[in-house]
Amino acid sequence: MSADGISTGMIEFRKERFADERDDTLNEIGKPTRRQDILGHVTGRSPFYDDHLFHGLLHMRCARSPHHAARIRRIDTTEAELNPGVVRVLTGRDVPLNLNTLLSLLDFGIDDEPVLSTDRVRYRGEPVAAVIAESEAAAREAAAKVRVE
Amino acid sequence: MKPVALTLNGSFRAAFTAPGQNLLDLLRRGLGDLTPKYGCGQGGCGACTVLVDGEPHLACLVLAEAVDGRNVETVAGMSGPTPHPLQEAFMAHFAAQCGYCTPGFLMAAKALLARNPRPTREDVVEAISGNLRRCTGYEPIIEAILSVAHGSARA
Repeated sequence: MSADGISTGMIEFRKERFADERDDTLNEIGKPTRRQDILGHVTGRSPFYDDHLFHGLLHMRCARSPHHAARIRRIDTTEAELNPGVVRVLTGRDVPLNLNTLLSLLDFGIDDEPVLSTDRVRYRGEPVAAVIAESEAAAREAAAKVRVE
Repeated sequence: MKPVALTLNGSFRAAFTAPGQNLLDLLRRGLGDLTPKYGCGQGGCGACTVLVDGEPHLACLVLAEAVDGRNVETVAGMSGPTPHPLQEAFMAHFAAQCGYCTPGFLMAAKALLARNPRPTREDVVEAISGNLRRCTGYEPIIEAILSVAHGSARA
């Protein structure tokens, strides 16, 4: 199929779909047009995700596996929980259905990846515990205090 | 907690900093200036570039207490009633798409033009070499900066 065939097809489709939104003046074609959001971008005022300062925002950092493949004998979160600013430390046992929903949403077929590992890790960086704290620094600090054997 | 006093975009500001707090966090969370962006947090992307006494610095790598008594400039202080010529040029040359890297590039460009008002193309490339952009290419940004330097900014 030619490139023309594809684009014509798409235009026909859009005509039908957005018939009530079109005015067919098409007077933007052939001349430069300014993005409507550009003033916010160059003045730094465009709001991005990280620019929302939610009141009472908590931060999460994970304790992750330093090994590519290993069995987990014990996860000790006591020291991490005592770290100032820590609200809660979660492990796989706290997750009711401990499966990463991404695989099932993709309809991948095999749904065997936990949110937080309990018995073994299958890749380096696999999350084993999640620390929720009042600040990013506290979460990071406490995540380093999670002991995994 | 340690007090720091600085000039931010011409205004005298003071705040308390926690040990180890970086300048980016002080500006964004402590002083509410959200124009410097948190990109990588480790000095690789340039999104947090600000000027300290006129020199470009990566705010994520500068300790907040190190700017005590210094003059800090961000994009928030760039435009007056009308946009800065660099901002006009970035708009005219389509030098921003999602806009996240833009404040860092603007700061790097401002520092360049302050020390070298007539940069060559190579000077511009060198000046923005610490800033990453992922949306499209660097060409529109280089063109925008050059247009200001050579007085042909379409404003």
